Amino acid sequence: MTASELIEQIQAQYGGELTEANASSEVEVWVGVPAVDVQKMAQYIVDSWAPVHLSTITGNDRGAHIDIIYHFVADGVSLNLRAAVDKAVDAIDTITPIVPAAIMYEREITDMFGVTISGHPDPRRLVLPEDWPEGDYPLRRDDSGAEEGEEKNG
Amino acid sequence: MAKLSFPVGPQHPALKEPENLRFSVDGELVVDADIRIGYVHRSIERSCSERNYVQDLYLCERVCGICSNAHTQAFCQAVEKIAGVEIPERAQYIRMMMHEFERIHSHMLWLGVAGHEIGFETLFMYVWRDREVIQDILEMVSGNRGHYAMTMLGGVRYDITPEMVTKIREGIAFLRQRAEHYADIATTEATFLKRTVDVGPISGARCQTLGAVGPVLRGSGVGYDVRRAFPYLKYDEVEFEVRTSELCDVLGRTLVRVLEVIDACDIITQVLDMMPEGDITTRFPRKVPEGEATARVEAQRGELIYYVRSNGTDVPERVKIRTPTLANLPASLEMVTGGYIADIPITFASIDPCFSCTDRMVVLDDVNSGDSRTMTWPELVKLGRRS
Amino acid sequence: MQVLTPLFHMLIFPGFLFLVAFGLFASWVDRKLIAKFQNRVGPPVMQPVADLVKLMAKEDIIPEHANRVMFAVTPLVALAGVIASIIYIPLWAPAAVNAFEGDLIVVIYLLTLPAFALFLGGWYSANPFATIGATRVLTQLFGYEVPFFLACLGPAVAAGSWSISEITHAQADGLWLVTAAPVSFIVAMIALIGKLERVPFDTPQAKTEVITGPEIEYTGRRLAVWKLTFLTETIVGSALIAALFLGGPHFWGIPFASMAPWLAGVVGMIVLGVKILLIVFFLSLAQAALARLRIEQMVQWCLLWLGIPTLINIGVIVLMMRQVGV
Repeated sequence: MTASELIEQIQAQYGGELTEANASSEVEVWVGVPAVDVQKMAQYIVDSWAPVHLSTITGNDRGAHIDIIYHFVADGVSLNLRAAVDKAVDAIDTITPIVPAAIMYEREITDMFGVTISGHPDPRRLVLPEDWPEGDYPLRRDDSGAEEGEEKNG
Repeated sequence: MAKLSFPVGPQHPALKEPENLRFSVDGELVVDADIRIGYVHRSIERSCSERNYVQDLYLCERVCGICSNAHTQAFCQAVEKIAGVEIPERAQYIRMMMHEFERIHSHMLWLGVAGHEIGFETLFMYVWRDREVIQDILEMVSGNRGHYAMTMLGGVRYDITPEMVTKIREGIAFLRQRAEHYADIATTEATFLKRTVDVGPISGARCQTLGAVGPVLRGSGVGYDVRRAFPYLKYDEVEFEVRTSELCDVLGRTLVRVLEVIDACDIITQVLDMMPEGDITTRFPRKVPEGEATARVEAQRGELIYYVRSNGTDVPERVKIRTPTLANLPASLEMVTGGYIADIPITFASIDPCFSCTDRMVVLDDVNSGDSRTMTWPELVKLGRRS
Repeated sequence: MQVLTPLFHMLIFPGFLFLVAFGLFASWVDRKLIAKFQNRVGPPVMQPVADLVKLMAKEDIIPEHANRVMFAVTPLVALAGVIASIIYIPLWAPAAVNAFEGDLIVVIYLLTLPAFALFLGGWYSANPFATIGATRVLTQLFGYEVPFFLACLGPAVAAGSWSISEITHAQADGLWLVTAAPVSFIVAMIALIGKLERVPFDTPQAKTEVITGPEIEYTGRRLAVWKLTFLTETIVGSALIAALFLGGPHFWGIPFASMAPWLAGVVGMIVLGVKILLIVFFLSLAQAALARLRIEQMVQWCLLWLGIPTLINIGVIVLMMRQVGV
């Protein structure tokens, strides 16, 4: 399957509005959905092209919202699914029950960006220690950085 | 005997890096397994978005000491994609060669470690001695035995001279013959088979569900190899086989790795035959235009993915790295559960774990009390001055 | 003299000092051989001595939660058991220092002491790895001890005596008993690997699994005593097998009876020493060529492939004796 065919298929099947849909190459597409539709979309991807490989989930602080990008490989095409999480909401539904491979990556997103993953089966910290201060997220750009009295390395 | 919970790590002779695994055992059987990572977190992703592209290249190379070339390759691939820079053909072939050199050295290192984990010291000694050949080649080509710094934005740093080609051909022929010998040992030596057959079993379908990659996935019969699925460099022009094994156990993963060494030797021979003359670098702009890209490469441990987003300056906005070990962890926990304590080291080793890659923070974990705490920088400085 | 002679035998020759010296030498031979097999250089001859001296000088730590008495006593009991058993094994021509009908049983029991002591020492160390290692020691004991006992029974039945000296004497001018009980000999050698906890039966001490298991909490002098125990047990175990199956100090064509007693003693010692080193060579070869087995594989394999063949071998010996009409 080529990238453009995949986009057509998604556009035909998906009920809601895609926030973006473009092919960056023959084997790579970028698709965007509203954050509330993530579970629905993941279910759709798994149902249509199983077995689907989830490479990872990227988080990126874009100012007002946080981009969550799910990097799938579906039927030989690299499918990057983007969902923008508003910082006012700061939560997104888990896809772990649908794609079990997401378990570690979703924990990392919570660790690094403070986005709550609603319904995650194992919401412990992944890389941050247990006594890491609440509300301090290393990869969030509005993070104040080092606290008062704490020296910055380098 | 009552259920006993015991920790493996953060310090343990079977682990080459600090990680804390917790096992609940019933007699000699493992009934539950859990992992705590983060002991060697070095904030590389955050640091990347505070340094320029050239500095990031060196930073990414230091994500891992074993697969350093795969990291620079993936980073360059993503950035070159955003910048729209096509590197010269000769550079592509040289990069490919480095990539396969690294695969040989890493798989041989792994085979030795696997021998050590099951108490087969002789295998360890022999394999590591043979591995010196590839290390010498790497040193000859790049000047370094690790962290080769060969890949740079827009090409490669050093050219391959005709004298080097002769030496590489000699070394590769020797290694190929040794790899065939090890493939023979792995399938015939009785005690080796006793410790690897049906150990750490996991089905191919389960591997796919849990997102496993690389030799773990291929050792369970699923032929996903980035070099074939998303060809990069010149991998669509060389002939090689995606090695799989239907055994779904440690032996399957071992065989896949040993056969991949043989394949890597063949790929290098093809590359040497095909490599055209020409430049090895092209101009690369200091500032990268706004955009985003992903890059997947088949590192020796499995699929490695980079996501880079640039904002038009000379500093990337975001660099995301997902290393193969993190992808293989859920599968590895499932492999050890239900097995014997004695099989824990070899089963974990069979995913070729690299926790430095996976992690990024200084944590002191008191295993006895179960307390963890972070030391602040002043505390660390004080500790350092006291001792 | 009445008091001094036994003391001399216990502490100097053939007891403690001699055993340790020979054990250290055999340990060097062992390490050098393995190094050669593995394509390495190997240590210099004084290395085992240096290791021992270094351990002796190190800090001695007893874990807070360990049972202090058991922790301290067990290594000494183990070493004492091994050294006491050398008294009953004939090291030079005529007989052992102390021989009586039935000393074979005593030696076999004395040689199980290190395993039990190791189990107790590990069990009372208050460490999960030591606990797992200790249970493995006992589990493994069932695997090799029964075959070892049965294997030693072979020569005893063939020679018609329960005294090691008598069994050795029976081989003085005739055939070595390895010809009568070849299976028992092989079994005894393999069981000895288990007794010494070496590859492929080093499961209780597996470095990568349980980090030396029961010995994990031992440091300094006490660890040195454990090392000495296994060092000397290598010698005693090999000497026992040599005495039972390979004629001990005897060798064809050497007329011990017509030699001066001191000469006979020296020649006998040299012959036995060579035999012990040959057995050590076998141990090193096994270590270099094999991988570690899992505990349940080990027990299953030992009982099936060691236990049953020895029983058959003993049956054959008994039948043969009937035929000969002894």
